[in-house]
Amino acid sequence: MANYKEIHGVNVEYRTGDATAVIGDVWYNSVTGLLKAYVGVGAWASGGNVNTGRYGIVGTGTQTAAIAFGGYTSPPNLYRDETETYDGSSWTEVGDINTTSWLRGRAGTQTAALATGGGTPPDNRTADSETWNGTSWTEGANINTARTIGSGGGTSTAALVIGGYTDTRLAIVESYDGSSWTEIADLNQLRDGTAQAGTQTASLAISGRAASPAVLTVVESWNGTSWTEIGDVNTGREGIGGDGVSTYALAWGGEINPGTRQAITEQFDGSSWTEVADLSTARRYGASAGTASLGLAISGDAPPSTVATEEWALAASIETVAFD
Amino acid sequence: MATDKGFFNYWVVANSGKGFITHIDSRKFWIGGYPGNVWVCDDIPESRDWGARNSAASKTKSQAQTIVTNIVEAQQATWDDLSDDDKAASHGRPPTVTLP
Repeated sequence: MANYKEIHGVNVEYRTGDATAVIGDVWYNSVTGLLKAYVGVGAWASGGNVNTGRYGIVGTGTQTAAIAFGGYTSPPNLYRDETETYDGSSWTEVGDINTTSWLRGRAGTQTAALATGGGTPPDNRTADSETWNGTSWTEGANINTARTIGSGGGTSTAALVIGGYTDTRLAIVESYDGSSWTEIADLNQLRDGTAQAGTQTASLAISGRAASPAVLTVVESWNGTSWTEIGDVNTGREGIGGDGVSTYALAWGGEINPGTRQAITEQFDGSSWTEVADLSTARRYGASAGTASLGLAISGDAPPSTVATEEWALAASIETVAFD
Repeated sequence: MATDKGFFNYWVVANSGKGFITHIDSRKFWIGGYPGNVWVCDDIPESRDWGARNSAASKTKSQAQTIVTNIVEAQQATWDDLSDDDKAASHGRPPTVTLP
């Protein structure tokens, strides 16, 4: 078995005191005789409330520069067209999307975003796509298969839309090159209500629902060519939120069976999922933004539709390494 | 203080946004939000400090449950009055919520 020096190229540092907090730091405290480490421990905290609480809302961007749009409120039972932007402390309503809708795909940033597909009144599915330039939404190239709950990711010019629902759940995946959508390799598993993390060429499809009422624990990884099943989440959920990259992701909330909203959060380290700190407000079909270390859970169905935004962050925590 | 709280505190207070629950709060105690601005926390001094900091109204478990139930039943009644199309589109009847 490799030892610490063989892995890191240096011996564990001897120190007479505990170090300044840097996540990943490992040292031996020669005064106390204890091996110490700073590890990242995640927790959720309240962010600014959205102006219009809703579910089926989608979002993108970073923890301090996010955008969220569309959705559905009940009561009153209305599809929504509001777009809001977040500056790290408060949400501001900006230009409405053109197609009042919920459960869309998403990609991009606060100043260059993409909305794809979704549900429109009274209970229709659209192939519509719109692009946001920081000021207003403009009609873009439609996806090939109209759908709701097709998760998405990437940038506004290099995106994916993954799975979803028409009259049945879909395995269809489409890729966007900035001008048109092309159908690419299918998922292995039909699914909707799935979380997505990553880019157009390296992405995860996380959990979701395969067929009512069966939720999926299965996670699939996209390498730009094909989808491969990787480590399962511990708790399968529909309407789950998530973000990150294909090797480091966060997934939160969702619903197991109808009526069982979840606060569960899991983190992916590239090989397996670990349950970490819960959301304070359980929810399904909220919007996601940010990364696996600085994430946002935005609004969603608690019920009722919550206005709560929660901010995920890692903090360095000093730990003593124990030996059996 | 109420006598039926068990291991939890029950509070009513509107989520005021940024700073309402901090990362430090979350690391110190479990807190869960429910309909009607009801919040349930581990019953420890730090969560009582959180309630005081946010000017939250302390409730017994039964009082908090009544608030939640009233909200949920109103939502369920609204959902029951929807058309079949709207019901099908709504992803289900609001669920009954039982506080821990």
